Amino acid sequence: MAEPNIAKVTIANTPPPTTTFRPNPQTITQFDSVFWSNETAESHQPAPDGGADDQWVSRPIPPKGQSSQVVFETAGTFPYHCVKHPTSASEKGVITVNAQS
Amino acid sequence: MPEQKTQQTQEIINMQAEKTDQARDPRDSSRRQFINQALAVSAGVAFSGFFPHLKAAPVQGTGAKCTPIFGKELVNPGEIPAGPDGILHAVIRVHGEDRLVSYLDVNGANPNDPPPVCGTYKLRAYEGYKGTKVDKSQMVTKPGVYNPGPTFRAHVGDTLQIALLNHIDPKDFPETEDKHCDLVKNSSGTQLYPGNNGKPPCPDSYPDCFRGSNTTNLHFHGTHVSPNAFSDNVLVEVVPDLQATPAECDYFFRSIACKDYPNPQAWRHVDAKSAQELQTLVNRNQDRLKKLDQIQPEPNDKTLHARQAAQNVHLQEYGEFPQYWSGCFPYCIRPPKYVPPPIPDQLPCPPQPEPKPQYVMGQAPGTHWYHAHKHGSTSIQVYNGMAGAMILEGDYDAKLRQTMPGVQEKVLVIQQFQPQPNRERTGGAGGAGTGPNGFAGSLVNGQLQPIITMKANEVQWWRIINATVQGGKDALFTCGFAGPDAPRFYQTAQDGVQYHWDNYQPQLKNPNTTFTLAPGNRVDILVQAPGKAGTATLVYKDVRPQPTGTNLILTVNVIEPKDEIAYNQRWPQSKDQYPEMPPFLHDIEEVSECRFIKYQMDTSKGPGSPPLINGRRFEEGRIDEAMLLDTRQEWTVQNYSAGLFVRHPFHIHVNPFQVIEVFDPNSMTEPLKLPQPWIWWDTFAIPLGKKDSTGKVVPGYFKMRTHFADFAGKFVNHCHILAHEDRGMMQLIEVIDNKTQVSHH
Repeated sequence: MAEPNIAKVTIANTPPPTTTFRPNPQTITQFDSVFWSNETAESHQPAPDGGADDQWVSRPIPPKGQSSQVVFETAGTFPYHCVKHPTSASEKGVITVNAQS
Repeated sequence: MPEQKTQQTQEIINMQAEKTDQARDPRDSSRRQFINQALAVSAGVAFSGFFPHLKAAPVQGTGAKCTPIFGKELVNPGEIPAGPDGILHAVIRVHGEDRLVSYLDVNGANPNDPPPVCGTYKLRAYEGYKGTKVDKSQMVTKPGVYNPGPTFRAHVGDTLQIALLNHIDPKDFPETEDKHCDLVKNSSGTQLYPGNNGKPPCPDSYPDCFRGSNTTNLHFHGTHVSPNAFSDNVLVEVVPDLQATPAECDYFFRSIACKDYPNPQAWRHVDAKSAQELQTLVNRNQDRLKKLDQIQPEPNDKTLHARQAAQNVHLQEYGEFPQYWSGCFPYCIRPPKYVPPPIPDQLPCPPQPEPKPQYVMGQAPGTHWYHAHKHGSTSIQVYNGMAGAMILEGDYDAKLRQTMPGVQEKVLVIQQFQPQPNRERTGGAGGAGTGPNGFAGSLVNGQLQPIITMKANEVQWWRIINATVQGGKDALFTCGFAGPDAPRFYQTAQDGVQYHWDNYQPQLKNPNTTFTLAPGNRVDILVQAPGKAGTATLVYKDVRPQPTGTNLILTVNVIEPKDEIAYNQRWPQSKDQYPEMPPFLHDIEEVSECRFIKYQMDTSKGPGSPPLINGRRFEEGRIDEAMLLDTRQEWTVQNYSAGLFVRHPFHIHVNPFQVIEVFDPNSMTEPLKLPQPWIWWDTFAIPLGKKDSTGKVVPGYFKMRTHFADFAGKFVNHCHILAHEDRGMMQLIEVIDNKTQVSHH
């Protein structure tokens, strides 16, 4: 069984001023973790679509800040959005979790 | 597995034969390899036929626009030397920085033969500056790249003035409060860490959990210096203060920080002027702490620093040194030079005032190191690279340089990277070895699988430091050179303490083939290149199969010299060419007390079980062991962990120890008493326990002797798997002063 990985999702203005999650989708394996690194000048807070605002990240990630890790224990597709900018079309992402072989 | 068992059996047979040899000749050469062999036996290690694979060209990591630092000539870390006045001035600035990290991508498309890749991660990182200012022209560390802190180089007896400046912006890492355990959730929002309802995995609670990783401090590993006040005091915590400057530290270096603090009360009994200056420092620190709650509040704790200031007041009322400091802390250490007592028949005539030796022990000259040691965040900070070499020179170095003029010296700081605390935090099965969470490959001075070029027959002096959090799967790197053109090596020191000639000399006829490095260990080896061009690799063997190439530390490239430039081809071959063992490092022949220290993880409760010493975790406000200054003791340090590969590396601050006996129930039928002169260590991986047929654990153990010399005060022993230390596998020790002001009149 492979060691679980920790994958990074960068929150960046690419291209400015559009904020996106990169890579998108972030594809990982079951039991891997994801954390978000905010490279923009604003706060952002990733949360699963249909879930609580603090389900993944307890509070907004400040500019240049880095979140804690979220462990994905089940396979599936996890769409998410930014709580701080819920109407932004670009601030949406997907974590794709492949089943562990 | 049968093959491994056969191999182990053969090793045991070899070792038994070796023991017979010892009985015949206590100076027999092969016995000197005992510890390496004993450690290797239980790890199932043999290097014959073990040739690692050289990697293909590096590739970019997924989505990362970077080129891994891979397969390049090794560069020593930048150095900060002491000046001719015997004072080393340095600033270590800690801050959040995006740094490029190179690693082997074991989670990529080719996990069995992972390519070198890289990525950029925000790390808590050291910047090292010569002098007393944050002056970019004096910076010796590399910005933007994962690399260790600067190498401090001084002589024993020098004074090292190191301003630790904590400029970590709490907003960079907002989810790590100091007074609560860090939380880890799964995608459903369920808390995974710390474990719920007291159930494993990881039923951690404050203070023994991953937490408060923006606060830091320093430990000077291997130094024999005071554990009090501004010296090697790991109870101090330096909180971030973005407005702090090293000028504040500099003032106190020139006033009170470098006074001697040989006991925990000494800071309260300085002269009136110093007392006033100290109080000024304390008052100013109190004011700054309180202001931090307004100008730089913790995201979810607006009164944290006010409470820390209140705790400082409480500590002072009880005579304790303040624990919490803001911004800049003036570390001042003076590793003592041993002054032998005068020989009676050589006393001057007429009699002069008798010079008294200042210290019973001296600082052993050698390869030491420093790293962050703040309880709860040691592992993540060291994973982030917060460690560096500290070379304290003395007669040992002078003699080796006299024997080997012009010898090239390599400083190798071996580190492992990962961006978040290890799997214990997520309920996984403990540390993930050299491939933590997919970031496989050991970094040497921040470089992945570097090359060291040597000329044919050249002898180089390598100072190797295991600055990893975890080491291999069993916490050990059992290292050796592999390949048909493998160099020879001769070990001259362990953990910064030189070998006695009797332990060095046998290698001349029968060179060792392996050396072991638990996290925290250092070795000095003289590496002798073969007489013709070729390549070899320095590799380590793990207890479990690892992906191809992840065990490769570096490559040695031997070339034929194309010019007439002289280079060192000598190494000590006779006693007069070898450093004499200083008197304070002679064997500890007698002890006044014996103790048993029991390291344990109850593996029956699954991975992430509580790490315990003598059945308890570290607790604030509790002294676990106390002893009188100047006592010599013998400790039996046991490992009750069985079933996992956890050879907890025992480490104790301030005083090194001599290992006199080892028992590994997995490979021995009886303990092995080691012959004198005993080797000095400050970190030793305890052999694993073994379950007998009834399920009862027979502990592995080693016996050591140590001398609690020169310095009274509070310091710690702990497991050097640093995640275990963070989780409470640590004891607070107090050495009590053997002097008093009470007298009869």
